[in-house]
Amino acid sequence: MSDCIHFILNGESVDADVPGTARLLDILREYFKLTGVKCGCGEGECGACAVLINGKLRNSCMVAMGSLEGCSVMTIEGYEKTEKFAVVEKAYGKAGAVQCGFCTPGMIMATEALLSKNPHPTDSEIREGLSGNLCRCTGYNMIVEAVMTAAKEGAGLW
Amino acid sequence: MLLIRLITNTVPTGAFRGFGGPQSEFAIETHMSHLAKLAGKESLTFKKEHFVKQGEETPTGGKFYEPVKLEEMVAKADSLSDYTRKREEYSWQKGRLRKGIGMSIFLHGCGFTGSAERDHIKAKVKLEKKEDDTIEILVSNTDMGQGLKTTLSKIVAKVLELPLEKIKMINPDTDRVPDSGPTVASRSVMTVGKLLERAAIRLKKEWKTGEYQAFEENYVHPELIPWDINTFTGDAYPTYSWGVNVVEVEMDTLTATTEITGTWGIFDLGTAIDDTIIRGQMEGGMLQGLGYGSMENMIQVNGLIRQNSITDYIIPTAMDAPKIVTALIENPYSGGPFGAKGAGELTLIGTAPAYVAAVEHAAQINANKIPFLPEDLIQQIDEVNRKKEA
Ligand code: FES
Ligand code: FES
Repeated sequence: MSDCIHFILNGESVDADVPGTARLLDILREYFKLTGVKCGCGEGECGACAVLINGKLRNSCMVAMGSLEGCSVMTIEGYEKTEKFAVVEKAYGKAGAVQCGFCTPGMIMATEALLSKNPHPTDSEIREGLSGNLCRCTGYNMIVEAVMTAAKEGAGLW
Repeated sequence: MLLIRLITNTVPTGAFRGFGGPQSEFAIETHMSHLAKLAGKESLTFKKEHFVKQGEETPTGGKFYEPVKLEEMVAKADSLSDYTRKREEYSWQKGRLRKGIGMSIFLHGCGFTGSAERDHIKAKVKLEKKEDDTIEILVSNTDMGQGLKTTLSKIVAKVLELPLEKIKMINPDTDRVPDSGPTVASRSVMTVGKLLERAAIRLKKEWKTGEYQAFEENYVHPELIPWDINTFTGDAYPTYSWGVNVVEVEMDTLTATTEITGTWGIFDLGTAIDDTIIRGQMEGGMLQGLGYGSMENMIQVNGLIRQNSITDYIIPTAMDAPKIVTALIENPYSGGPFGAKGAGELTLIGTAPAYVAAVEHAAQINANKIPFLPEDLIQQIDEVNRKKEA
């Protein structure tokens, strides 16, 4: 057995020759050059680094590489290629849900995590679903509106 | 050579959206409502008695040249939020659970203070028409999410009567762009946008299909009462943007928790070039102001900030964001493109004083600081109770 950590990254099987104590966030950005994943705080507060691990929303700054053996990781770069993303992207654009965009990749991963669990969320369920993702620009209501629109427009996808 | 080394234990400060505006508007608005109480008047009545009017002097001996639409803005805020009725209804509540509503009325200078544009910035813009008849905007201002590329492109497209896709603006490379000044002070759309509007008007007049053309425009200072940097007198700004904000709260006076149940924002920012972008500025600015007024605590002790990171510096989340209702009052300014004035900073400065006014109203106290935290509230409620007992 090699010394690499094997996992699935955006649908592809990968081997990462990195220390088990390294942060997933750094490995995604520096090793795999997936810079859509952002470092906002580095301590699990802001959600800018959010990815899906086995379909669940996780802050990648809080995940040690060693815990990933055999897991499936999806970042915004992988999600971007899906039909669901197209719906979410359109909804975000229409609602004006993006300003500086720093929170956006994480917000979109949170949107996917929420809709995959709950395809028809209420206003307060959306707020709860996004509450781990901080946004300094929009005031959130336009993002909530975008998620609402995505749920409606993408009916059947989730 | 003499070297002097100084050590300070003061934390260096930097500019925050509104650059002095959030602090002073909180102080002015709160002071005004405390004065109203002393005069035995309702806060809004007292403030209305002191509304400035077009043509009147500013505190620095400048002039309000443009129409001041405060009466209309307050009326709009009142009809949307039902402020006057609620203000009356929530007065003199006795029980543990209470409601409160507060209003702030404010302005923000547009562009740089005094003669900085003329003496230091000397903005220059360039508009290039390529041979394929597409247009490139060349300015040194940056789109950092406030929507500058869309807004400036829309201004040029509208003058030239071209579809937006024909206009290109990329974030500046200082090798290529003229110096149109920094992206600050709510100046980009009003000042730089105006220069682009003028360049586009010239291009339209001299349009030659299929040919390369380029037009530059230089800043022209409006006729103002000269700003004196030594005495701080004269026209501080060519014009002002205005706002009226209302915040409504529900409060548990036992636990000192306050929930924001409604927020309204009426703004006069001249004309909106793009409604969605302006809505984003209004909603984003207002929530930022609510965070600033209600939770964003930053304490300095011996030169250190006690809040080490965003784990202890708490900002609002999606769950803290109340419903925000906004409306614009048109008041086109001739010095801005299609009448647009500054919008970026104005939208932040009004919600903190409106929030505090609502808290004061519910708890029947005077609050003198922001952020006004549950700790502050419980202390004041305790004091009131102690006084009652004594
Ligand atoms: S960078 Fe991971 S939560 Fe902020
Ligand atoms: S868009 Fe800037 S942080 Fe969300």
